[in-house]
Amino acid sequence: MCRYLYCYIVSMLLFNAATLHAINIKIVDARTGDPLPGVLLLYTLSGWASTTDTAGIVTIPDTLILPSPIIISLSGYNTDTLSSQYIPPIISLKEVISLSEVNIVERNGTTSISTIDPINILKIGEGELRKAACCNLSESFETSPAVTVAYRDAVTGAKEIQLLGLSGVYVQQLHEMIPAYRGIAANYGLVFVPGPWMEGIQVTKGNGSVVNGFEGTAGALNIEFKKPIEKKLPELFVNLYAEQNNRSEFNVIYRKELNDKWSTSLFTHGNRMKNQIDFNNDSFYDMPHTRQINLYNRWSYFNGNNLEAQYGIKYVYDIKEAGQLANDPDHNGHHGPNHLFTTQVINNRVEGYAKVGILFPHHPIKSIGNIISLSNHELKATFGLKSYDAIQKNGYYQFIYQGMIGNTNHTFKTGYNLQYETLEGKINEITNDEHTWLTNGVFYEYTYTYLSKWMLIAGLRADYHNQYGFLYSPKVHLRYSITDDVSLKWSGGISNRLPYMVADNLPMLATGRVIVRNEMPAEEIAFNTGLSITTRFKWNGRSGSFVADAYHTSFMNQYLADYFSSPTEVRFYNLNGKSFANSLQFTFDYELLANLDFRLAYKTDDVRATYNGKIIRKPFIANEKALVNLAYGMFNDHFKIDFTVTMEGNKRMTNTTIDPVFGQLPATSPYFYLASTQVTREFRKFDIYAGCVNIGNLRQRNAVISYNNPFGSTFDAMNIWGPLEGRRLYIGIKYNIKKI
Amino acid sequence: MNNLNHKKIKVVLMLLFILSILSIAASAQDTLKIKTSTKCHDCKDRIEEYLSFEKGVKYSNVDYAAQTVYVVIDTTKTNAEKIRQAIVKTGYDADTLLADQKAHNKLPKCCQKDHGTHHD
Repeated sequence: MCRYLYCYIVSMLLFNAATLHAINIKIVDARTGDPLPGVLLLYTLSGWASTTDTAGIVTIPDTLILPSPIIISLSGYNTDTLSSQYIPPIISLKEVISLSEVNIVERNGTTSISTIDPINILKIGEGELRKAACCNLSESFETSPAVTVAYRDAVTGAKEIQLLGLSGVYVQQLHEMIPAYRGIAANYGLVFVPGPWMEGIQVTKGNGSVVNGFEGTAGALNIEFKKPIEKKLPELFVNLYAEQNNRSEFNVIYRKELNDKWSTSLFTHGNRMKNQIDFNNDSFYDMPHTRQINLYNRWSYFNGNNLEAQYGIKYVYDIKEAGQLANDPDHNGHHGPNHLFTTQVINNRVEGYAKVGILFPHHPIKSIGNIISLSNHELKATFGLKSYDAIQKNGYYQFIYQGMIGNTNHTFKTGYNLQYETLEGKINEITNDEHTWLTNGVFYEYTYTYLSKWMLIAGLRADYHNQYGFLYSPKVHLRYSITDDVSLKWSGGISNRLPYMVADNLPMLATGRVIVRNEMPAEEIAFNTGLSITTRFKWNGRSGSFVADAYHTSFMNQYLADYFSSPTEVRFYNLNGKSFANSLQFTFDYELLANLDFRLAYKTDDVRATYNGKIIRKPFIANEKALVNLAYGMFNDHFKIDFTVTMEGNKRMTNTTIDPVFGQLPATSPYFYLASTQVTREFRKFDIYAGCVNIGNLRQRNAVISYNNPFGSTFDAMNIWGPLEGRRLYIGIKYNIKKI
Repeated sequence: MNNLNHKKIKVVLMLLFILSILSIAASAQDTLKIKTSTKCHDCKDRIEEYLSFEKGVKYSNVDYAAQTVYVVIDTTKTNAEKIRQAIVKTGYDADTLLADQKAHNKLPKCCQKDHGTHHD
């Protein structure tokens, strides 16, 4: 593969070299047409600068062949930018009338990490989401190395995200900064966020802000949905999608500006998968039969001056059915003694929120925000003879006041949060998992900016919980800019989390293990620190970036699920010893050739905990991950090809059973590679895209252990390391009806 | 499976290679400067987006205040007349050609010709 890639790169460089040349451009006054001398041209990436001569002419050297913006500025005139590879010979500058028009657009804007924000946030934009099918949130990280999405069990296809080597429960999920899926909702929450609804995703690695709560040990995931007020969005958007394995989806988004104050959007989504395939002949469906209906209506209000409000209501119903195939004569011998092993998971959720913000037009920093959200989530899960029925109700209120002390170098955010939660969970009809939680919290976050060099964010929050008492979460972030393009970031902080014994470990119901609760859970407290370097550079006239980060998390307490001490039990107890996670990652992005973007990333995680006195690797976390992504655009980027190869390293498995048929399985899983590709063609009114996931058709074969004895103690469907679905071809269409 | 992967990667790279050559080979270009009837940033976005889908257009930049469209074209695929026609179809004047009346009337009020230049 390397040989082909090498040949390709070398020949493309030769071709491209022939097309480079220096360009003279003339800058003139937009009104009079007179040449403008002394106009400053600044190339942001390298710091190259030049000014026009008396005839208004400037020479741009060929090493600056774009696209990366050149800023053109002259005092008294509006700043303009050149952000394409084609430079017009004459550029006219307009005299200043309004100051709010500087508009810098970079081509490589699909994902970005700011060199200014001290918090390490990876921004995944719509351009990046469009590189792959991205039917829902769980499929949105295929080109983002930091986030790993892993299957949790072989029967329902539930997935979780992993960040910094920690499982998804340590990642706070936010929807437009409102805490979203938690507890029982977190298990399947990733598939409740349809891809085409999203405007972008912000992934915070490590410590975030103290504003949104005491959680977020590994980081946070904030989803921004498409805004009704966004004029560039079509009035009606229709997306249809079909996949080889009988999966089909639709999305319809209707947007309407009612008047100059009110606007609204209605989002609808439905999906269905009926795939009764048993590729590995283990009598279990490889993927569940799924149906989902998902609705979201949002309203936006702005009075044009100082009052802004958002309201929304969401509803989702999702059902997944899987288990053993009925009426299949080939597998009669494999069926359980009395009946088939079947699974059914139903999620039913309603939520509503309101956000009201008061702005002070004469005080740029000052604002007051109020957020209220309410939700009701019902989960009914059956795995063979085991069942878990739960109802969780959440209430949330937040008040934030933002202001400055003296000048804008010293700003602060302060406020109050109220969180209310009730959970009533029944395992096999017996209530043994219930709580009523009430948390009152206050926070204060101070930001200090010194020139453009230093920035400090220091935050403290204290929460009082009715059951766990006081929870303190201090967090500090520091950013130092060595140059405008190179910055160092450091953070350190403490986060808390309250464990949910069953909901955090739902896949344990898909095993024959007996649940043994040795101890009641105590609050989980963890210290996280991270150091990162973010650099942007220009090499050979093209822009790129390099990001390296290292994180360490150590738990002072963690509620552990021990699958190792006994092959037939899962034991729950609080940490007695060490538990830590180290994570190291490099990401390199570069525009290899004109319009060909290249990304190379590598990550290694070392995650261990003390189980029953022994420090061993935590299960289901890969030791290494690497990713290569190539994205090529043609016809003004209206034709795009994307290709990704991912390598995942080995993971520790939990199964220690000596099965009569399989023997004892290896303690770690093998390394594997996955490749995927997508082609997108955009037309004036619609886009068509088609692609292939898992090109190599890799599947984990023995995903269900002891499938022939599904009600026995050795049955285990949670030892998952790889894909459960083979190669999938898909095709989709997006239709935009735009008001011109 | 490994072999299959290998083949696929080869095919994809070949495809990328051919496409890149095609895009570089055709480089007979010309820059047009066309007077138009733009009023604001929305007008600029509208024309640039429309032109980006037009065959043979490599780049366009609208200076809405100067009411000028700069277009870089591939002369083997299109010509100035076709570009002017495209601008007319979006509802704006192009040099001596008047805007398509139907398209012009569909524009928001603030972007129509009888409205003054504005900056929001």
